[in-house]
Amino acid sequence: MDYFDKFRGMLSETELNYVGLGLARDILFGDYDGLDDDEESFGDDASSSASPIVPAAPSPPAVDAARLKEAARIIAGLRVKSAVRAKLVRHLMREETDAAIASYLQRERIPIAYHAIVRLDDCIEILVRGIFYKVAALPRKAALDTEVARLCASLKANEEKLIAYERVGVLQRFVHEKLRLHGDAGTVGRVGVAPMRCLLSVARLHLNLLDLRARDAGYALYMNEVSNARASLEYLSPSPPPLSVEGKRVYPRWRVRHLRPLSYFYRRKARRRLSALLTLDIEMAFDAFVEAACRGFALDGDAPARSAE
Amino acid sequence: MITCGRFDPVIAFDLDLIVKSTAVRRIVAPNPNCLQPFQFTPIATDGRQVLHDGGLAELDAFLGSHAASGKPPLIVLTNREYLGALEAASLRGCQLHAFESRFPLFPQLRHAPLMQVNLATLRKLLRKVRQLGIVASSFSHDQSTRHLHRIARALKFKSGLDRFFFFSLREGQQEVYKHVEERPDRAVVALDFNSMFADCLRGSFCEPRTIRHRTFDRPPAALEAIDEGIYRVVLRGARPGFIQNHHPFLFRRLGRSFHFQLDVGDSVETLLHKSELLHFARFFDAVDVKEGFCSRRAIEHPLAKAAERLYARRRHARSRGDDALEQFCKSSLQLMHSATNQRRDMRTDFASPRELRDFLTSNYNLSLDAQVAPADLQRFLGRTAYFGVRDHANGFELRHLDVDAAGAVYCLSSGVLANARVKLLTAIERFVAYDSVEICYANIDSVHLSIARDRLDGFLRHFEDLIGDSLGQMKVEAIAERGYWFDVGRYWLLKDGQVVQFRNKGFNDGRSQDKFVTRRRAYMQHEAEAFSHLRPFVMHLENSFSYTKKLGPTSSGTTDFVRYSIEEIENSAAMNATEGAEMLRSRVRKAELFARISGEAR
Repeated sequence: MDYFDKFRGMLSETELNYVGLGLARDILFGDYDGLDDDEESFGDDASSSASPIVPAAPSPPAVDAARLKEAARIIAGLRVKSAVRAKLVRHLMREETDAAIASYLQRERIPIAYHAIVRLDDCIEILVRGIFYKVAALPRKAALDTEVARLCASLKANEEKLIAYERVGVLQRFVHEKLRLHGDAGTVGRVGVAPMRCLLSVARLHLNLLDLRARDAGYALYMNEVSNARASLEYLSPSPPPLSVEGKRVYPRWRVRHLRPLSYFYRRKARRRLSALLTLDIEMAFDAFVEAACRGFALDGDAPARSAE
Repeated sequence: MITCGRFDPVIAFDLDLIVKSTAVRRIVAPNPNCLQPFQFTPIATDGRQVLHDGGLAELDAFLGSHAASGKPPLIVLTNREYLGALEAASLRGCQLHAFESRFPLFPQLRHAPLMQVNLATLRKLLRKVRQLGIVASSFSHDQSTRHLHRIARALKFKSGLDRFFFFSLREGQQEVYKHVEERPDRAVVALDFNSMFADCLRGSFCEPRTIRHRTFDRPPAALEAIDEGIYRVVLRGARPGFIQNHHPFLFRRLGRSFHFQLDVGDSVETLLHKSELLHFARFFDAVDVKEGFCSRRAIEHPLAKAAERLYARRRHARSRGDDALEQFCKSSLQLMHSATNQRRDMRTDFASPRELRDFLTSNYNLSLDAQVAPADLQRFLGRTAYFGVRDHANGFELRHLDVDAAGAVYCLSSGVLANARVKLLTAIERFVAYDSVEICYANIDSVHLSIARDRLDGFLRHFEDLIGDSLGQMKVEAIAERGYWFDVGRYWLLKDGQVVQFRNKGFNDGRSQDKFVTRRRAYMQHEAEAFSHLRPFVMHLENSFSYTKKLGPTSSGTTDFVRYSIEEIENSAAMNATEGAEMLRSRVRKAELFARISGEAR
């Protein structure tokens, strides 16, 4: 992968690190392939169909005043133009990831409390500890904690380049095995379906995020593509379901939704803001640059605001 | 005309609602004699081990057995121990409390490195707390219950119209006028009212049982003769002078509030108590009284006598050196006026955003037309303590303040706070009229002034009637050479290069040796059915600055904070743009000033 080189000179180092999130690449090369939820794409279509009616040089695009203030809060005190841009880009990326996480959790029907921990480095440890000690009430042993830590380290390192879905399978087997080993007869029964489902789902999301953030961009792209390919394959020829448990319904293509990589959940809304920031002319005077950057950050993508003018 | 409402520039009372609210209701307050006496299992911990009545044990094993035994909830002495054991306790489903925050009566309390010492102190102090007669499981709950019960016994009934007094309930005057005062020929004087609120309980209040709604077709004959209560008034034609930059009205939009400059001739519509009305009338050409909630019968505050007794007891305790009792009386006095506005929440379901907006508009004096974006509404609901909203299966659930709560008597609380504002403003007006005095800072019951150094003695002699040790007088807290104010609750006063008085809200908790703490570790607890986690994060002083006034130009050793003009804050978008611009302009200046003074005076 040599596309990093294409960015040299265009982006600061901080931004390069965030290119790993996948968004900046899509914006610059225009090959955004994520799907939007209906509301989003409707808004975008409306604005593009409205544009021929609006004169060629329209009044400056609408900005959201609350975001303008937010931008000022973020960058107040910075004195270097590239730092201003880097910080705003980072915030946008973070917001976008947050939105993706929220929509994922909503789709998976996971309680909102999980949102706060998805991004923490020790997310999986926290969840597994919760299952062991809070739900299953196992006696706490240092040895067990060490084993959990070791497993998490290996899931993150991912020497075998397994996609997130497969790694969560490993985690699931580990948890069941330990519950059987350390608990009494009723332990496995005590751990209901809901906490396990949340654990696995959030762990999958966490690993997906980690893949995008922690490694070089090549790794992230590889993971993204493999996950997409696996999802399509699964969709075209669903693998036979595992032995179905009595009373549980089987959906042939259920697995597809869990194979999707995170980029599937990205919104289109951030693109305009990001491209406004990334295409700013760094040669501008500082104050003008700051103002333009804040406006870019606060661009309001909503079509109705513009057609109302 | 500038309308200053409770959350929004709207003051409109729904007539249907007024008619529905006229019924007289019982004031309901739980009897303090029926409170469950507190029971705790005292422990000390270092995060790994626990010392308890049965000896030393591993933390996790102890928590497991405690949860199974069904004994009373655990309590530790300090917040430090509490944070160290919170995650483990919550994983095991044990309730854990910190003595320090439940019973904040012992300012000298320190964390000891030895668990044995902490546990012994904890046992001793729990006995002391019982001795002071505290029954409920926290000091504030105990005292608020007692105060409210006393009020309910004295008054028994209130009119439903009392709910409208909520809209006149707001804090005392809090404002920072000066950022820097370091002119060499000046002195900074810090003054503080003795038990301000206890003093403000004196005077007459509107009787809650006989509140009625009155509209005025023509102006009342004499303002002095109107009944106690609140009035919707239009103050027409501001006169030049003191009022322009010292009026206490706040312009509010979606819960964000700003002080603003009043131009000569401007008019203000707002909700005022009688005491405020009498005070402000002389600053305006005319006063139109539109409507009011008032009562022919005026009463004394049911706690006024108790407050005087408690204040005398406090002075006695201080003279004997009984710190715990002194702190007890002081804190109890502070809880008196708020006992009648304890927060009770309600939850209401709405099927659509439209219904939610209609409800808020008609019940809380909000103006939520289509111009208000959903994101703005959501920000507002998330920002104020009175509201909260969340999605659920078929619509929204709004958590909102129950203004009709049977234990609320807003007319008393709001009257006390109005008295406090008038009292402070009267004092400020008298001070700034004195030669060379400039006001620097005001916060509910304290005032900082800057005065030419050679006039200082004359000043103290001139205001002998205001300065003294009795209830309602002020005492001189400090006299300094230089002063630096950043926000309400964040200032440093220096003399001979040393800090003589300071407050650094949220960062200095009073124990640190360093008077310029800039970083604080705070914790956030994340919890769900299947996990719990305590996450530390760091708060930075530079991010805490507020920008509700703009920084004026620096001129030879002094810098003022200047109020925005009304045009700069006339709506949400303008507020955001103005504040954003001010952040970009002044944050660096503030941070640099802080770095300079903390470097000099550390």
